[in-house]
Amino acid sequence: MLHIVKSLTALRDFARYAVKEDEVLLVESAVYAANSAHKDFKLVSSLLASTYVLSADVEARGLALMISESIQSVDFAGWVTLTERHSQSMTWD
Amino acid sequence: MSQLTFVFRSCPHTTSAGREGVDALLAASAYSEEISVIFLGDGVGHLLSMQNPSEIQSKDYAPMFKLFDLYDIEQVFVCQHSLQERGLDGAALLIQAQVLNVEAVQQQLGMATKILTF
Amino acid sequence: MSQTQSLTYSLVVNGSVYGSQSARSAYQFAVALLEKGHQLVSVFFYQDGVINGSALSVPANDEFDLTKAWQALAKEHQVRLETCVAAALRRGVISQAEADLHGLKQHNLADGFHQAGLGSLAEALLTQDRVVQF
Repeated sequence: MLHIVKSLTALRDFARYAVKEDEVLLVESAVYAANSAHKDFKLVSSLLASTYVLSADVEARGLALMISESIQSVDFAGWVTLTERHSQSMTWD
Repeated sequence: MSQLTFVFRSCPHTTSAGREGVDALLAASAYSEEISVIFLGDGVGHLLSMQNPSEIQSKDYAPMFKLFDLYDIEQVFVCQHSLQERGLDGAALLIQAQVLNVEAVQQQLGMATKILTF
Repeated sequence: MSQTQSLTYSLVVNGSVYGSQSARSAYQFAVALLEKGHQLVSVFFYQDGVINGSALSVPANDEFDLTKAWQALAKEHQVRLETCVAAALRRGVISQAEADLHGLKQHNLADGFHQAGLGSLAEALLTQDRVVQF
């Protein structure tokens, strides 16, 4: 399953229900949590290999230098690729 | 077999998401028998009985949940953890929903073909 | 490397034309999926998303005109743009037919958008390979 997480409050909910086979894309406000010094980074730290962040949202917010190197940045084409890989997607806002 | 899963995450009346979620799910039940509903996070608030939104001029759509039986929507689940952490564990609920632990909710989500969240 | 087959998509857009980002993200996702060779069958605008279907929004001239962008996308790629009629009526996005029906002097549903029932959403969920919610 692909989880699309849009905010930090959504991230807190999502983190409870994710399973290890899932992948998660952080978009909109949720991208702040991709910074390893952010208090909510711990919510994705156990899922790093399967966590992605939307580069356009990172750029928009001036976070490019703060995103953890363990989290892959994707563009919109990369987002499409994630949806190709997963027949299920769930959006958390 | 396509399993459509409607997840309620937001609490009632503050936004219209819950109301519009119920509308969507009841409409979908005319097209498919495989509908499941999961209340989690703040969405568990939808199941509280004794809701009375008349003084906030909001539609009282809680009775629509009671239509689930009539529409053969039987797979209705609520997250126990979400109830507990909101102090709603012993609260009277509007309808019979299966109370699930987190692992069981994860399983239900895993079984969905398509998911919409409200 | 194997070529991914072409998939059919419907998008569900709940964010307004302005005020939240989600509808713009949906548009950019739509462009990307078409560029990758997939088929965008429909976009179902629900909740505040119906406001994307208003012909009356006037973005600043140096800002992105999202309604116009949806219209161009729909025309170029035969995408069905559907605004949920019940959600649209409540939010003042009205077609000519609805204006007549409800005795309203004006209507504002933008060209290329069609008022649709929730059955359309159900059909999309049951039919398309991928349904992505924004």
